[in-house]
Amino acid sequence: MEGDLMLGLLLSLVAGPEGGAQFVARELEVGGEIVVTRCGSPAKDFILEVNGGGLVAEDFDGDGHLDLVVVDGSDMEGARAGRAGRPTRLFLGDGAGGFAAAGKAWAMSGGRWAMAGCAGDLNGDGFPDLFLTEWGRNRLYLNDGGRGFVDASLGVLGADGELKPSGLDGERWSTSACLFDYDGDGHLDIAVVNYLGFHLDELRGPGGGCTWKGFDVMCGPEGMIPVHDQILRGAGDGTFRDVSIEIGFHPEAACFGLGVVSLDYDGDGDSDLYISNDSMPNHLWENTGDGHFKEVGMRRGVSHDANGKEQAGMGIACADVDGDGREDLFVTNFSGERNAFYRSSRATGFRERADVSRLGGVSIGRLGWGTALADFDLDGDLDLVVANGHVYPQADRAGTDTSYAQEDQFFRNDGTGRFTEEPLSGHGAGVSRALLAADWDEDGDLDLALIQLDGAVLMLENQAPHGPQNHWLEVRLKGRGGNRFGVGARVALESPGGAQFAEMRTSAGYQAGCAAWLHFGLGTLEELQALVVRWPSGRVQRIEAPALDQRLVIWEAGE
Amino acid sequence: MRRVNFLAAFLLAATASSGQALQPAQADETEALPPSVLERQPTEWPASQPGAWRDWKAEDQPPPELAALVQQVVAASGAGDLPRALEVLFVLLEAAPDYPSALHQAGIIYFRLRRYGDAAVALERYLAVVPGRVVDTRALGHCYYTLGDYEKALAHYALVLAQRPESVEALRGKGLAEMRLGQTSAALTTLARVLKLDPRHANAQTWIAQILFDEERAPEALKAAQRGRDLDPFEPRAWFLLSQIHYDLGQNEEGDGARKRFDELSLIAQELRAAEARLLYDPRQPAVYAELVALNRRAGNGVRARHWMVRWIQTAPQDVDLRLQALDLALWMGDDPGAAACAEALWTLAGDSLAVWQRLARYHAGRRDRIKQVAAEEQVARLKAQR
Repeated sequence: MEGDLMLGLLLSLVAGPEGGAQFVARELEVGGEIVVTRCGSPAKDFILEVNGGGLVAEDFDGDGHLDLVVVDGSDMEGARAGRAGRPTRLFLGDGAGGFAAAGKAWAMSGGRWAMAGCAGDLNGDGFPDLFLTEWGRNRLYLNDGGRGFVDASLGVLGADGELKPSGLDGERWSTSACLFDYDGDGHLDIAVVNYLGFHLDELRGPGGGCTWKGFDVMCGPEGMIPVHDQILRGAGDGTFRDVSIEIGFHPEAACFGLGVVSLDYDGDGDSDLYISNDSMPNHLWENTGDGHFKEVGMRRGVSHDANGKEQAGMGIACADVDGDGREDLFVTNFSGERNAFYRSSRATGFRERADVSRLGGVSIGRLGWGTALADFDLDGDLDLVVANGHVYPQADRAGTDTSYAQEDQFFRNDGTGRFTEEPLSGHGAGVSRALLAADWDEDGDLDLALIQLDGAVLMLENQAPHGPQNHWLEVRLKGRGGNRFGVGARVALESPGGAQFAEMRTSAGYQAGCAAWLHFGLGTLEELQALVVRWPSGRVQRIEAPALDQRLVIWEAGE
Repeated sequence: MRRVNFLAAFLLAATASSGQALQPAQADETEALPPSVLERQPTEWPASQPGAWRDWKAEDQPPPELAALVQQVVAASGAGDLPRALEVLFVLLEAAPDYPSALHQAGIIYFRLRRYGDAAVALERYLAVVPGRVVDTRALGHCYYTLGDYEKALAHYALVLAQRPESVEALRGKGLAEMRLGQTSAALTTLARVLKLDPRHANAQTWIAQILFDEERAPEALKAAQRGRDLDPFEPRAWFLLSQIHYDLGQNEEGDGARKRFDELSLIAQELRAAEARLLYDPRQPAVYAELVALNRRAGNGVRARHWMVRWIQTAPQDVDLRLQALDLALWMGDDPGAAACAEALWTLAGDSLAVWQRLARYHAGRRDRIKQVAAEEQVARLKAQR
């Protein structure tokens, strides 16, 4: 009896509380303190209080290890009093999954109420800069050669000593953003997704006549004024010009934008944009190749659900799940709605196939946010993670068919394009928001960082097996010209079993900026025939038989 | 467009409780303040002694001591006052634990309130008490489906169909569950069976088109979608699907045309959903009924406009202005029997309303009913003389 008890104890220590989950969760602890974010009061009386903060991954200090930016919010009292919000913080990664507080040189001041960010080389100096979205004026921190940040939100000093305005004008409620080079001029531009017009003097809180399932809840977004998204054209020096209207990036009706990814959906070599909109049709912006955009979401079948009903689009995951050479789009939605999985069709459109992929029904009771498609178990096909949590604390009341705190989800791809839900980790139900995948511990599998609304940032360490059946490859690009990390490049792996590809981008769907590293799970592959890079410049570069299980840095070849 | 007698529709709506066709639902946007019964759940209901309802039969009259409560439930449900109906059902089920009729009705009311989890609890309990009555519980399949459990829905529809093989709504539910599970051939067969039983089932027709489209069989999908649209030209979904298929076929002009109609109908559908949701928890809102009638007229959907007109009149049966609007609506729809019923009701309610008698005189003149025209004109003359 005693022996059995001892054996049981030993087993529990080995397996840990997480059992067979794909990830092991821990709270992000830096310098002995748990890193938490705040977004208003727990009562969530106003819509501004529900989005949560954001996450950004990049190697800011140039030491070869990924760092983590945690974007923090504010509270209504502070906002009313005109106080600055909680500062965004950079934590420097050690390459083993640990983080340290960055020094003063990296300190950022609090804006009004920060939401998210993304990183990339906005001034062509080879170091990643940081763009932050806010309810308020968006901000820009330029990287001072890996030594610290310089606040360039208002502008940069020109050679003549004059301040050149940044072009980050106006005060909106911006949520997600991504960097891309839409016009192919070698300078990164910014797509900024805006949500709605939120004004403190027009607030409608509890008792404001807004109800859900018969319960009094905060108001919005219905009944509020959506705000147009923007494209800021980069000059290559950290300054920008809003070109939205002149390039046709202006829908007939503005929508409540929440998520964004850049992608080349039609394979014509330029960057398009997909934007998820809350309670309104999602937008697919096709780059016409002449510096303009046209909105083709409905035409391509990615605007509504299959019923023709607009959904509450939150986060986006984008990858080629079925290996047909075109990327598919997964969009998280509100409770009572199915998450949408737009699979590329034989033509240039998409078909919504969440249910047949076993991703629809399992999402109806959840409210999804951050999401990622990647080969988390390194078996050669793409899996899916979804962060969940409701916007209404009232979701815990009777008869709502949902709850406020919810389990996050891990869906394992069975290799046929169908997914099976498994435990993500043992961290239980929470109110999750932004999610970001990156290999912080540099063991070849992708880990996760997760914003818990008004709680600790969670780090989820991937428990993927490593061995002869779980090969991988990570790719970093070093481009020529201003687009130094090859944003928009397409990297294809050729192997005896076929090909897979991925596109370099800077956003991870919902209020998260991903590092410009591409990750490939290769499963049992023993060798690659070639790796082919189609650079944003149009140059195609072929690398024969790259070794597996490595972090490969590829420099763009010269003329 | 289907023609339904206006008066008959009124009577039907006034007495309907569980007879309406329930379907798997989409996400809702429900509104209004919650009565306290909404804070309660069916798990609170006390349990009966095992076998207490062994001899219960669905066709039996309610026990005398419950009859008054049952009547209240029927009345509240028929008037669309679902919270009130639920309140009485709680009383009923506390007085007579597991009374099968009450359990079943509670399941239906919860379903109409879009509380699918609670509806499932109530209907599962109904089945536990009277296991032989699966045939009454196709809404339970709809609950499982709407909650995303397609396997469970499929299994339940199979049980219902075993007892009633020609239940169109159970067949439709089965077909949709099969479709969600990727059982494409089975879904097409099942939905074709729905159409065989009910050739005017627009919804089944449009889902067939959707499946064909998803299977990359666009030319066949186009024909099926056109049939679906013809069966229900006010349903935005059919136009949406048509636009998708046209675009996929590279027929952009046709796609744009279908999209334009979809945009119009979809906008109205959104407003309709929001307005209908506002009534769910508080049906005493005349302004919302007025909005629903107007929206449906704007969409050209006379049948739904009439449905809401009837519900509106139920809130104020003596209101002659409402009756005048109902008359106009019936005439707009070309519903002669309905218009005649409205005119008849107005005749008895008109009293000394000059406007009503003038309207009646015009109506009967249009109908060439000289006797009534003259009688109405005499009333007009009398009232004018009095003034």
